[in-house]
Amino acid sequence: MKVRIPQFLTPLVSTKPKQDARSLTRVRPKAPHATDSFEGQASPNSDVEPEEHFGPKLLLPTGLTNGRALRGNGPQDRAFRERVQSGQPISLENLPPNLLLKLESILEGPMKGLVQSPHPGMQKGVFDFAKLHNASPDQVMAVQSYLQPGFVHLPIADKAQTIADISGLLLPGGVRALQRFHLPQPFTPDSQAKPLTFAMEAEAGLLGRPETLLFYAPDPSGALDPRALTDDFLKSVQLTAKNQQVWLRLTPDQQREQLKWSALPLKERVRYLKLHKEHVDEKVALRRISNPKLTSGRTPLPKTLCDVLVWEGSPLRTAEIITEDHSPTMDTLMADVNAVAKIGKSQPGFHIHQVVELSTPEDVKRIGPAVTGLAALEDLRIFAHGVRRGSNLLTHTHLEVWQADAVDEVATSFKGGEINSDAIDIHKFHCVGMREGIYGDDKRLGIEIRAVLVGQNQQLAQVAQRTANTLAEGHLDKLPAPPWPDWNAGQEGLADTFYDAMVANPKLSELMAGADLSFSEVLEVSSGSNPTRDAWKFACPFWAFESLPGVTEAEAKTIKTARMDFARTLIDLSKNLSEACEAGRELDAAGNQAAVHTAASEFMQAARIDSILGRTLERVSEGLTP
Amino acid sequence: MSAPFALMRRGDRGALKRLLQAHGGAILALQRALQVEAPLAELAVAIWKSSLSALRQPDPKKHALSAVAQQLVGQPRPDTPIPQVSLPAFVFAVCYEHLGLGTGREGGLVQRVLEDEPELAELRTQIVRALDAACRVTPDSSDAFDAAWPEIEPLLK
Repeated sequence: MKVRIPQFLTPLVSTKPKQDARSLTRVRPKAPHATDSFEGQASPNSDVEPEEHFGPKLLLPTGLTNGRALRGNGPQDRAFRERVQSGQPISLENLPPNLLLKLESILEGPMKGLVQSPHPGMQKGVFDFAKLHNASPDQVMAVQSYLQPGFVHLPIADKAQTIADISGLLLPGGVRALQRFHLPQPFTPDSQAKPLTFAMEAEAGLLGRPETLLFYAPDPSGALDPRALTDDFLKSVQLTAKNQQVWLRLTPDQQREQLKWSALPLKERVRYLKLHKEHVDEKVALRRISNPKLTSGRTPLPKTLCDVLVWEGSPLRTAEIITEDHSPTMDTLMADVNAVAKIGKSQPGFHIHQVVELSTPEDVKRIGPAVTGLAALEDLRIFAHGVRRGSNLLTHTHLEVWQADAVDEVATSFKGGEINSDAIDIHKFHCVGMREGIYGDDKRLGIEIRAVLVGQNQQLAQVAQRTANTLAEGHLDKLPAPPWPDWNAGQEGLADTFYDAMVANPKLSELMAGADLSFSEVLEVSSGSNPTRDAWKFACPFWAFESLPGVTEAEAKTIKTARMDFARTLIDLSKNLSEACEAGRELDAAGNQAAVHTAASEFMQAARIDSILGRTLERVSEGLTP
Repeated sequence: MSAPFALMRRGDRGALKRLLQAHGGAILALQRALQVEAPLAELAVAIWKSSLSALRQPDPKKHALSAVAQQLVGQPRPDTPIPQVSLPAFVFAVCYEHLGLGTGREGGLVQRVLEDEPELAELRTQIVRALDAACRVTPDSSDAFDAAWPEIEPLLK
């Protein structure tokens, strides 16, 4: 097996004189307690490695290799011993807690990737520990190479080779998981296959996340424009105590000449930018700093991220860091997400674009509706999750869950074999929207994931990966493509269909007595000043979730019970509002909105809509029927 | 006699006046504890409007305190391009959970929001402490709202 040794690996391994080119020192754990229970380690009194052990070798707890050191008698310990002795695969989940702790304590640096997520966004636990202890030196080298953070930025051929080299050490399905994550995934329509590509945007208010200014500056060399250095600014600028002492001894001209971006605390950088906007450049173009000496001890952002910061709306408000170009692999996308997430404590809102090319009218006709269905179902899952978690998706100005009519309309627009920009462009502002026209070719169609709750980056990675897998591996046909005849999100009069049925039911006559305002009227009051925009979203518990793919009979029953609880809250409010109407009271009630929001959240919690849809989408991404 | 909130729903301004007289001390204590300035008329109108959303037949004092807390700290954040928590729903759920109003399921929402936005735990603590302080305060009654009543009454619609 030929293993390529990337340049960045050299600091981790060292060669010994008198050994052949293959021989490298083993990776020695520094943990003091990690010595006497390891197999294959040289005696403490011996500096000489046995010849057969030349080359790197993974140091694993003895218990992992023969089970002997594991003396526990609990069922998990016994099961583990049996597994070791019978030579079955050993995943992280199989490791008894004490052994896992021991393993975690001896792994250092990138090698921790054996027990943690090896790369941002990558699932953990792809290695088979039963095979790791017998890994050849070449395989160990390949593992080390794989676990280096820079692995994701290696040329595709090198990554493919490394994955092939470690394939013998992985759990069943591990190779597929790595290939999905690290290698381009060809999107295979009926015609010519083209890679699925990815891009990212990350939005955050500048004042809420001023750390962005550690990585972007008006001049990436750190120079400041003298026109923005007004006398007032020079007099009032607050530097660090040490710099301040020097600062006060300088003349204004010297100050203008010597002050650099990196010397300014973040608060002062914001102040400077306001002056820069006023006196130098009203667009406030900020460039990415690539010199590590100028990023206050932080590693500069990768070159895959934009060179010029994008201002969403007016300058100095919402800063948007986007990928410089599209990426053909999920790993670089997730590395970019991780780099941006680490900029500051407060997290940005991430948008992820996944783009496919539909080269022929036949591709468009068949795949367009299926992509629409996938986007709409993931959109609905994110909406249901957000409502359950108390997010403001019920009233958000720019993010709106897909209505059933819109899903059908977009899906039908592909009928003629063309990507119809008029039909699609208005549907970008969804939790998961659709895009075209911004990807460099009018044959490209994109899904944009926008509304995963801020800070839930693990979920973002999960959503992005399963969507990508579904698109790239030909699983779209596992989902019924819209139009969806039974789906009714946003249907006019839906809430009142339930209200009318309840009023007409003689068994509910006592419950409904006095509830004279219909449900749609209650929801209209609850949606406050924007009933046209929001009232239909407050009716979400009435949507026909039970008609969606993958919902079991038991779940359908639970959904109906949860819906009845929601209806009870509306009945209470209806009685209140009916009384108030009769008395001529004005129906402006913020409290109603909070009450309905809470009831909708409880519906989503009880019916577990997001879990059901998540399971469906997960199964589809694995090529299974929902 | 009907509960104050049922009377208010039917437009009985006197019910609000009596409620403010009986529990005005607690309402002012809540405002002090939350350290948010607001005119008395604003608090009174919030209680008046909240009669429309009172689930079940609530304890009048507790429901009035809940309405005032929501008015003082539940203002929505400006819209941003990314979804955030709905502050009014969170404050509503905190008050309803702590005071035992509503359906009894509101605590679930509070927990879920806090899992996503742990920094709101401080706000929750502040609200809960303020509600407790207001419930304990003596005297519970106050004539502070009486003085402001001419200003309040025209705002009751």
